[in-house]
Amino acid sequence: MRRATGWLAAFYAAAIYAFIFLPVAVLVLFSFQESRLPVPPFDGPSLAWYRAVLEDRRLTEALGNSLLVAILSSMVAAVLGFLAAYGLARYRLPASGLQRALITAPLSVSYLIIGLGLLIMFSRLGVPRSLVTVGIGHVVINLPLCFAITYSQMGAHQVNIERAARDLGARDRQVLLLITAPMLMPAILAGFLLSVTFSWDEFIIAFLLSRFEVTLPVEIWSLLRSGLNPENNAVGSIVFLFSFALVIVMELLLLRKARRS
Amino acid sequence: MTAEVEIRGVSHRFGETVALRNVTLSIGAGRFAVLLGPSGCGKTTLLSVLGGFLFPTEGRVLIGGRDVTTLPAARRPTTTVFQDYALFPHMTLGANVAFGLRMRGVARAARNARAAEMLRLVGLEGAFDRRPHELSGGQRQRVALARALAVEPEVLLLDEPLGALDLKLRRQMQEELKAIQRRVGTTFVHVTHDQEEAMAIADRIVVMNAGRVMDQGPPEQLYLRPRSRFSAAFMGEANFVAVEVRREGGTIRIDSPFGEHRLPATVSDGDFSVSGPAELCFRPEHVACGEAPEGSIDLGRGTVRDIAFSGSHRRARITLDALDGGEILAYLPQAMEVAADAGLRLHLDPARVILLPREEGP
Repeated sequence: MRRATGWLAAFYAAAIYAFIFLPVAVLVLFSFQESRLPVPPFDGPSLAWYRAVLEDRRLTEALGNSLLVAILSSMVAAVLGFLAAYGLARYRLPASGLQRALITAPLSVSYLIIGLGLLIMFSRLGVPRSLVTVGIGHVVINLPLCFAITYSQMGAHQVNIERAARDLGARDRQVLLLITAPMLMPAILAGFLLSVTFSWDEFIIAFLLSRFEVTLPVEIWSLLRSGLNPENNAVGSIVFLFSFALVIVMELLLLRKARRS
Repeated sequence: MTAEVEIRGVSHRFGETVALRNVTLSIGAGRFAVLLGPSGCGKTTLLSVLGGFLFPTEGRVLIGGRDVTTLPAARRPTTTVFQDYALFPHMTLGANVAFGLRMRGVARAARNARAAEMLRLVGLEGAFDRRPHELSGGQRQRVALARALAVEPEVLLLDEPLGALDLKLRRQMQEELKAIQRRVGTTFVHVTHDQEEAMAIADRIVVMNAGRVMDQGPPEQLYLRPRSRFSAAFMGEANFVAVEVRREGGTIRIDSPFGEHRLPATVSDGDFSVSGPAELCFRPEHVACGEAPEGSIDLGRGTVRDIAFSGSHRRARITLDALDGGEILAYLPQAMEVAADAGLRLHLDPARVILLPREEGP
């Protein structure tokens, strides 16, 4: 009886992981397909479609655009999120509870609504759609995340450390740059890296707010309109690999810090 | 560097709560002063007022004759050693200690040399490149001390710096603190709730309670000649017996449960009225056994209720017939083996007793 339950549990776990990872595994597998259709039977492995991706100027440009937007918008989001967290954690502000709620509210609003809102606002203001507007959209969705992560790491212990710095003659700006920011660097970095992964494969906002220059997910979407193709699998695998690598980096960075303190 | 500290009529309120009530205090340059009192007595608030982390609701703070009441911490000639050390976790010990000098624009080579010298002063030679998380509590406390002293403050403020250390380490650090204070000559203001620590390190103790200064002076004076019932009870153990006093020329007549006695006027510094209710206070170690000699205060017969061996003495709770079974505490000699329920005759040397004004409550 116990043995049967054990087998059942193992089967259940295997089914769950298969359900989660099988689509990704299939995508990656058929990116190594030799022939023109990413369907069984598998006739690879071949790197032909990766070469095709790297030779496709539109794809490599989109990849570059995605990296640029992801890194710059995440930097802005991490800095603004940190500053907001510092202000709300260290100073007595009017209605600080409400302000915190307002900053984190975009986390619960769908990307479609945020994208539409920004699209309407930009066209009203006469701001042309570009990678800059996409970046702004990504700051809007990622700032609450960076804020929440940084804010959660601001404790009373650091207040005394900041006091000590002030006591030794540091001005507010020096306390912020030399003490608070380095102390919270793990949280700030975590926010930054998460933002990069979110921005990297974000589609709706990027689709609504871009025009001539597009990010990778938008480019992949337009490729898909012309049908299934192992090249899509290859570029999808690259996107996945990049996100996966970021998560690993974050895990290592944060785990290392956690063990130290 | 060193300077005197003067606090004039300082009061501080946190909303409805009054943390400090009209505190006036002066601490001489180069002194090692200890603010002593139970938690919530206002000692830490007073330290924050000195350090520039709190601005008092009323009153003035002068350091070296200069009014610093409204100056922020960064611009005061004070530095603070915090209870939780507050070291910068992302910097080496050297960078921690050199931080204050860096803020003052001292060149890297000069400030690093000074930091190494300060680390040597606190016994952490060669630890320049280590980081705070590698250190034990006692070592962190030393780094915090070195960091605060590196900028040569005129006054060093210590906020229960030894509170988190175990007893043995605390004793050792007390001695080191005292030695370092003598070497650098800076005025130290140290906050603690531990009266033994206060007596071990201070050359001036300020006893506080409920936001007020209850008593102040050198440890010996505070212990042997306290000026309030609170400080007598807080500085070690004490017995209190209600008496009536009458001043007669150069002597004080007391009417106590132990009879009438004449005491020299030196037994009281209190400014209570010439005649009236007062309290006779005596330390447990001043209770002597045996027949009362001429001129002593005869406490009469007592019965030992409970006795415990405490190493240097035997701590006994004794009920006295003269107090109708009222209890006193006595430290009997180590060599004296007494069983519980034993009867004893006890007396006091009148030169050892203290007269205090009677206060409401304990």
